[in-house]
Amino acid sequence: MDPRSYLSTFLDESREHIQTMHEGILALDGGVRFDALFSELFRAAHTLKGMSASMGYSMTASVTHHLEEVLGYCRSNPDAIDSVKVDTLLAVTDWLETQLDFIQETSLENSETGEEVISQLQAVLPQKVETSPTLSAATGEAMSLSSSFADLISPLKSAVSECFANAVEVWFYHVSIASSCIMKGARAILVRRVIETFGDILGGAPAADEMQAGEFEHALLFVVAIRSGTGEEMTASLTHVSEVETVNGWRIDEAVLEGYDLDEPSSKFGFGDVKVPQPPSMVDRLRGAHRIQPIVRIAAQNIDMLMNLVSELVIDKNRLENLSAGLRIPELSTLSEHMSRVALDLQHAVLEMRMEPVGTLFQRFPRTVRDLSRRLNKQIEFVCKGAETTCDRIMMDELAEVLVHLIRNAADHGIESPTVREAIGKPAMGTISLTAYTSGQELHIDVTDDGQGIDVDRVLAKAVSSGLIDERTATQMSARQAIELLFESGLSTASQVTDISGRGVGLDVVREKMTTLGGSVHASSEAGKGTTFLLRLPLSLSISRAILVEIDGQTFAVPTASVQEVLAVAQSDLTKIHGNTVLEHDGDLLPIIDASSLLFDKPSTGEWPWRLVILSQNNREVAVAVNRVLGQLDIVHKPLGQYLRNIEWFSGATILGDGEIALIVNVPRWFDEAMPSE
Amino acid sequence: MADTAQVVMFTLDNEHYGVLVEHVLSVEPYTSVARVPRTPAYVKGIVNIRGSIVPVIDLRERFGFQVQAPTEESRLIVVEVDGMNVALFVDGVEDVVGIDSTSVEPAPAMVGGVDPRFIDGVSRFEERFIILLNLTCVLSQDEAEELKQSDVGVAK
Repeated sequence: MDPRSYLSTFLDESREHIQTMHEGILALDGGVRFDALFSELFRAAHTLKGMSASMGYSMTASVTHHLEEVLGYCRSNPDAIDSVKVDTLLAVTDWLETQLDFIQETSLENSETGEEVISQLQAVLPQKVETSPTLSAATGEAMSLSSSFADLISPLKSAVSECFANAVEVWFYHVSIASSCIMKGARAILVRRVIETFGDILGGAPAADEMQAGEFEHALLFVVAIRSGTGEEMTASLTHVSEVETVNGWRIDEAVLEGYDLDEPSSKFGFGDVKVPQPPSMVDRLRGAHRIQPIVRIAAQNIDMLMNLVSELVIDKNRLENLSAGLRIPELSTLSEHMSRVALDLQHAVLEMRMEPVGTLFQRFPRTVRDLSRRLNKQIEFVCKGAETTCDRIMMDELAEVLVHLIRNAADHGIESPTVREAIGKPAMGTISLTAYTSGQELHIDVTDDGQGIDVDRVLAKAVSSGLIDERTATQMSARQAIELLFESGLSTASQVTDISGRGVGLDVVREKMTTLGGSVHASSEAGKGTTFLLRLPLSLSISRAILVEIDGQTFAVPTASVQEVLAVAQSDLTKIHGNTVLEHDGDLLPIIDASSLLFDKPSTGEWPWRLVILSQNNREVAVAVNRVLGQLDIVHKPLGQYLRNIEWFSGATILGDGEIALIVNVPRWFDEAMPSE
Repeated sequence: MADTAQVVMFTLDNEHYGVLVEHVLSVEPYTSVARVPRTPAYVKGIVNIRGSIVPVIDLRERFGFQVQAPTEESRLIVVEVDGMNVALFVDGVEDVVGIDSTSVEPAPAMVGGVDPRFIDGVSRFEERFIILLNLTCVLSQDEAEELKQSDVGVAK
């Protein structure tokens, strides 16, 4: 195998482990102390250490080794987890990420800053921990005992884990009684009594009754959960028991536990069966269900290539359907129908491959919110719902930018400071939440904060002062229209420019991004209660459904997602207002765009009934008059190319079943045409 | 041989023109063109060339000649310039010829009524004059800007 393919696997997997640690550390920061969380963190660090060592990245391995120690310490001393440790741990994951980027670029590791990171890690550990004897898999002494230890520990694993979760240290003792001892059973009972003053015996060898009967050679083994005092103190006390020759105690850490997977009922030894159902791992829950199935890694570009091929196939499928409909040969029709079905299934399968849960996108935001709340001295809780909702991978990056922008806005302008919040009777801790869900062929993401809401008067004042609207317009504007102004360029209502979100990059960028993605953004706000930004996106960018219409003898495609209704209207359905013809529809007056006149300067609407396509976007509607409505089709979106990149009316083109081309209507632009003032 | 340039020779309004072979991706028979509304008149529309959408420039219109309906001889020369793929709608394609670079002369003020900024020079090939086009100018970014301008201009 090519070593470079090892490298890419190493990088992929390492990034996954770092992400796991990142999530886990943030969960620690949020006060989560589940044992499963520690195990997950530990496993990630441990695997990373092993992988980097085997790839020869010794500095990375060394850093992860120290990281492991701190994690181990945190697990045994959960009360000691403070923001300093969390910061250090996060800094280490950042360092590891940078390191991986460096390795990806150069395939070498950058060991310059490693020592610094290690000393940071060491600094958060109390010195004492370093000196306490730890039973680790590498300890020579442990090796000689390993088989008896393995027998002893395996059935106790969950009990030991439980102790770790409750910040209880677990020690392994090897106590040997002098071979000259006559009453071994009595000595064993004494030893047990001493031990019981320090903690609970989780397990021992030989079994309790054999010990009492003195049925053992000379060594007694115990696994003890320390309840009072320390392991070292217990060792000292045990050596004072007469006829005890040697006492050896080792603290059991999770690396040791990792090695022993068996988990049988511990009744065999008759001690401390303290198995307690464990809460599900935080990380598992964050990751959702997609972990259950085996995952095969495929380079993104291969999927894109597959998608392109499927797109070609869909076009040919449409052509074949067209041909067979014209030729009326039964065999050809059957074949064509079958091929259509296969092509459709294939298309869905490949689309599915391109979909990723938005959770992979959301997982970076807890950190963002945490950093923001630190910098702004605010208390903000981050909540995300619907992380399992999927989205086309190619939209993820752009969507991430939009979300970061909105989250920053919410933290900076939305959430008030804790004192202000308390003064007005809100909880000091503000909340920013992301909620993802699908609706029809659209992905919706709501970004909500429970902050102060949008100050409509200030928006209007700002819009007037920056010349966006005049004062008269301002007085006539509804709150909804005023909030829409926020998406105009050059309007930022922050009275103070901050380094968080006041760099003059406004919500106009957000709207522009969403429009490029074929989606939309909308805001709603209630003063004092909070603000919600509603994002809508098509589920997929490349193949979608469209309604085909004829305008001046030419076929155009209108994305079905934007079409609310198709109507045939008589003259009596229409009303004239201010010389403009409008349609009364469900109580609203809709402007009518004559497509033929707009596109070709040929008014087309001479004959009745008119065919109207009702487009809907951001709760607004507009009627477009076309010559004919031809039907629906799965269309493959093709760009118009560099030369025609400034065309605004169409977002691309598609190839129809007969090989002809249909331009795809760029719906937002048509809305601007119909409602230029809004 | 270093100073011989390979040129695709085509006809437009009874004159001979040439574009450098390295710009030419393919020569296609004329197929039906879908109009793209609200573009300058010389953007004839878009065509489907083996699954790709390619804009078509009517060179007659671009140079201000009398516009002609496509004939049997009409061809689309698909060229790539500065990363842009464009099909040139021409009266007919003749041949690929090698011309001696030293025979290329600067264009006189007006050759065949074509704006001199579109022309790299004029060369002689077998008793014929070939007008060598400067494709970068014919499809220049400024022109692309014009598309936007005209778009805005009409949209009232």
